Amino acid sequence: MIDYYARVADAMLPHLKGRPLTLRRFPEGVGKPHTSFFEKNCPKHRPDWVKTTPIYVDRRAGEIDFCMCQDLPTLTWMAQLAALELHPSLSKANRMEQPTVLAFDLDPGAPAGLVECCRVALRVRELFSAFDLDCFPKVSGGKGLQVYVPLNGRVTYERTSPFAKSVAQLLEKQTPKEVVSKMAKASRRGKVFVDWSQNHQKKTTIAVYSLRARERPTASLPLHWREVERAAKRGDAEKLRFEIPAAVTRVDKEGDLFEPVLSTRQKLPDLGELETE
Amino acid sequence: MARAIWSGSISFGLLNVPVKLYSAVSKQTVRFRELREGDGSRVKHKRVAETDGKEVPYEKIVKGYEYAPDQYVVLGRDELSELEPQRSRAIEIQDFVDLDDIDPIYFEQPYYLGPDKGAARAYALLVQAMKDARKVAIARFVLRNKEHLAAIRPMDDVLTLTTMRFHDEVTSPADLDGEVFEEEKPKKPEKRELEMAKQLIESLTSDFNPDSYRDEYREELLDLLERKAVGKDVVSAPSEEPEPTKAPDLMAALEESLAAVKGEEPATDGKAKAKPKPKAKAKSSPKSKSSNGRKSAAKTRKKAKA
Repeated sequence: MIDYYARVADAMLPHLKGRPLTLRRFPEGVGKPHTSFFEKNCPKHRPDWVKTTPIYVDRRAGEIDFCMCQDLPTLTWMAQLAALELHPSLSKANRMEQPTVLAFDLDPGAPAGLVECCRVALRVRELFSAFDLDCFPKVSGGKGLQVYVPLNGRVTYERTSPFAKSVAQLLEKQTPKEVVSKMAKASRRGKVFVDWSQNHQKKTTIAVYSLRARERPTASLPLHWREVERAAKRGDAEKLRFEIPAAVTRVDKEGDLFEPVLSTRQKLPDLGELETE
Repeated sequence: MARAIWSGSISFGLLNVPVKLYSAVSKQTVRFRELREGDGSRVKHKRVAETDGKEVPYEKIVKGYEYAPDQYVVLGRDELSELEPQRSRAIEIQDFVDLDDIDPIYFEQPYYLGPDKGAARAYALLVQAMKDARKVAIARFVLRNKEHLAAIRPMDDVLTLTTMRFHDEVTSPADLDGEVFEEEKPKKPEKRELEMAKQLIESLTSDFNPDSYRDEYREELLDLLERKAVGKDVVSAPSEEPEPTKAPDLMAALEESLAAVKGEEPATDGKAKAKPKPKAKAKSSPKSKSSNGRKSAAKTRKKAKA
């Protein structure tokens, strides 16, 4: 695992730089997920070259020093802490109220799976392309997919969150049998939950190239849209699961498919009003 | 901000911080007046003596404690007020504890504490110190002639004070036996059942989001009142399943914008045609904030709905 992170570091680091990180650590290995924990507080025993950033979390916790992964040594150190999963913020530490992307987490409720997520992802793409906006898919490394709409502007969560919610609701309205926009897991059966709520200053999303804790860890990797199309068409998304060796080969070959997420500047269409309810 | 309902000072050790107390809740209960059916005359309550039905003026009322059926110990007004707690102006901090150590069952009523004149600095100091220590202060103070226990903790830049129940006011689970568990105590659950129940809990687990819960009864009640007030017939509609597609305005706006950029009509019900909108394209032209035309279009749509 340490080797994996070292080998994808070139592609991965730009996506972590400057962002407060939440680490999901598995001190007793992925076989015992119940011993895992999310760590926001950057461990006290960190080496002094690990950069941190103080972020106000909430009334109870006050300000917390989050780790930031700026370089290869830090990434390696995190891997050594058994921090298998890295969950960065959608914003950078110096502008916490401004997300650099709009993100949708497509999470299937069984018996729906990755194939159904691909179909919904294509509809997300269609919707945004109507506004002439590009978006980029990645497998979550778990059961689902994520679609990122790069922004890299000055828009704040106050706009992105209701916007994302309205997108999820519209998809649900168009195909209530395939999509849900609400959190409750009970209503997800056989549908894809379009989780818009991660567009929030206090939320984090699994990092691109991060591994996910499974018995055989899988990676959250960027996809070509054509791969999503193919999986949706064939009804088979098996090719979209990447265990460590396949993930390393792929990143070597493809480079950073998610680079445009960092470099594209886009603006959300103005819907004229911002109220949610 | 609301008017202060009390003023005094927090004291512990040598520190003395003059503060004012403000209510932290605004009750949203719908209140009714009593009226006489038919003519709507307001109904008034009078205190009358049971024996002869004559009205008893306020100053002639004394308080009696029924120590046995129909046997009263009578206390006069003066006797009672002598016993009442000393009107102290101090919120005396007794201990600092961890919030997790306090079971929510003890919490009663929330208030805010704000700094009184000239105390802003000392107040800010106390807030910061308590934030850093991540502790809750347990204090005693007298409000409205009653001694209260209270928990004080920082929230953002203010202190909150939550009155608490005294220990002997709270029924402990051990005292419930026999009343709550009428049948014999159930056997230990089977492991499989327990697993299933846990899975169910997990599947319903989400983040606590206070504004996602609303008093639906009150909303329906207010709605009913409003309809009655404007003179419409009130028919109790059978309760429907919540529409899965019920959408706030923003979604409709998105749908219309989308239809507009695609050059289609929105695929909705018999609503009026979507007006063609300024182009919603925005890519790579940071100045394309098409605000005015769009805003007024949104307003028009709202009116049309009303």
